Amino acid sequence: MPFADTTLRDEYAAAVERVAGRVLDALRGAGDPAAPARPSAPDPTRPTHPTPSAPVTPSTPSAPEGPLLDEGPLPKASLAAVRVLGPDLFAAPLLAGLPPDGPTADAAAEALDTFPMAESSPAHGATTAHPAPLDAALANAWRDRATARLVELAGRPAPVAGPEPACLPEPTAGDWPRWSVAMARLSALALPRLDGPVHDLARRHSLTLARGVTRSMLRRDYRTAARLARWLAWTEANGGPAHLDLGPVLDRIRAVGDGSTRMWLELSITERLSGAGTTAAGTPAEPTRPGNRPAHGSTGDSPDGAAA
Amino acid sequence: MTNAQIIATAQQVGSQALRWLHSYYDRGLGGFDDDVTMDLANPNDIYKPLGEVALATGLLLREGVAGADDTRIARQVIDLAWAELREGDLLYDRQLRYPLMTDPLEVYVHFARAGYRHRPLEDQLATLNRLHSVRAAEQLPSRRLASANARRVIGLDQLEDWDALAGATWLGATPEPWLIDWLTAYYVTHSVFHLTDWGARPECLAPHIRDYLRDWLPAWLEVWQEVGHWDLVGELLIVAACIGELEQGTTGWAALASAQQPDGLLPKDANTATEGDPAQLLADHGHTAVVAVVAATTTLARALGGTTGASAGAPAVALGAPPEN
Repeated sequence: MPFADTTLRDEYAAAVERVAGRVLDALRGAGDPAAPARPSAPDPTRPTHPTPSAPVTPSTPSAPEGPLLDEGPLPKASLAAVRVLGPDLFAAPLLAGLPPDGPTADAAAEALDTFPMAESSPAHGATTAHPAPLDAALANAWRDRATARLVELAGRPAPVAGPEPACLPEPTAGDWPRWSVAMARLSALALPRLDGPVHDLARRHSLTLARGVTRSMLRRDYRTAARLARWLAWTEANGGPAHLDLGPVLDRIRAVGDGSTRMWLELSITERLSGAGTTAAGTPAEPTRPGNRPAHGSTGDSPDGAAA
Repeated sequence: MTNAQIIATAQQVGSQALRWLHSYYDRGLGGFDDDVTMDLANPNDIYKPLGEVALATGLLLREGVAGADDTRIARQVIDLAWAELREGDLLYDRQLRYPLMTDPLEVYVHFARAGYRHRPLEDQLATLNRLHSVRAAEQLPSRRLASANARRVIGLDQLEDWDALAGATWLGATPEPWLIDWLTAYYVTHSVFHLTDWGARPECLAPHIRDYLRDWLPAWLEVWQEVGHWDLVGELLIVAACIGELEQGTTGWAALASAQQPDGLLPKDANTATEGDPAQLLADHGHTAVVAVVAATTTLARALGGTTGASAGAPAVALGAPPEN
């Protein structure tokens, strides 16, 4: 609810939290009916790999079975939030092995229509001499493109996508930290049914992603750590090696992270990606365990995985 | 940065750090008062740094990868340090008075590695080596490795269970790499130093430990480089050399080169004063100079094939001057 002294930025941020709460509810309703309430103090009886806990989201009373978004025209702030969350809007059906749902796709299409799709330099414009910029605009372009793809998979008219954005360059010994932060910005792409050059990059460099998790945790940048952990969960679910035991990482972020609904959504998606063991196509995958690692670089490409 | 650039940077940083150290010891700093006895009031003040200086210069002499000038300077510094310890007599007295203490052994090994031997002390250490107490001493696991490696280098009977010693350390458990803290990072680096005898025995690092280090060393280097903790960055660069992952030190070496001052002083971190009383500067930054010399020596030995660096499996051989006692 906007207040007179609330800036537009605050209003949009609140909307993102609100919509993220809806997605989280839907995610819990679809797969975690036994999720306990978020504890106010550490619970020594908590298992090592707890089920996702519900964040405090007073403004999200919707039932898990209900529509993700309100019926009727959405206020502009909600549309902005829909665009920011992008592919995450469809987390519940995708992680349950289902296609993206129509009503959410309609809202996503409207959001992409209301706010022009982000564009970045096209892929063929990137050369070795001029590597793609690791900036936020690039991340937004990929996110919007993935959202449009999911709208299309829902059978709804997809907004016209521009040329494919440039992919990130390969990480190097000197710039891998910056590369990992750029990949963190693209974590919304780490979902079943999305696949493409960014996913290939993640497959090829899962160890670098794991180093990024380690670095971010040590720097107490828990948002980046959570996003990179999500990519790692995705690569593992797709047959990649298990570099880190993600359960304790998620526990730690839950304990010391910023507590935002969006962070909890990121963690829940990560947990579902690793716990459910779904592949990019949404079918069960053989879980991979440390100590029994497949050869580095092996992939579990899904034949029908859609290009983001 | 290519391997050639890493070698060039390491050589430059190490050589300047050695000359900085030499300039302090050469003017009489870093030594004991004349009335020092085996009952050291504070072993960390003079005694431990003397051992560390001997470590750096002794390794340089062991590997033989430094230029003629640096080799000559290193010999001068270790000679000065050996003289301060009365050519081992002080270590002998201290070990005789305190048989459970391991610091005489841990200091002596750095000299022994470079050929500075004290036979009565070695006889005493051989006797102590047969006691159950020696291996039952209450010590941190990484410190226990230090004693074990010292006995190995000196050539005492090998009664150690190296797998058990390694397994008792934090590193040996290959735990969550994202939980490491500053002090634990030092335990990790020292576990590697002692298991491999400062890079001379890379094969003594179990494959799962080597793989673990190869996976996470870049993240640790990056984190401590970002906060400018040059002393720990230098120690992690030694680890990179010990496991043969020189290219992982690319940005670390560049950062050390940038942080080093024209006179060769390498600040231990980004917060400690780098000007003022010379004795204080040596106390504050002397360890980091030692680390820089060791990092450069182990890196060059690994890249160019020093006396031990090129031959995994070769025993560490004490080189240099004949026994002085």
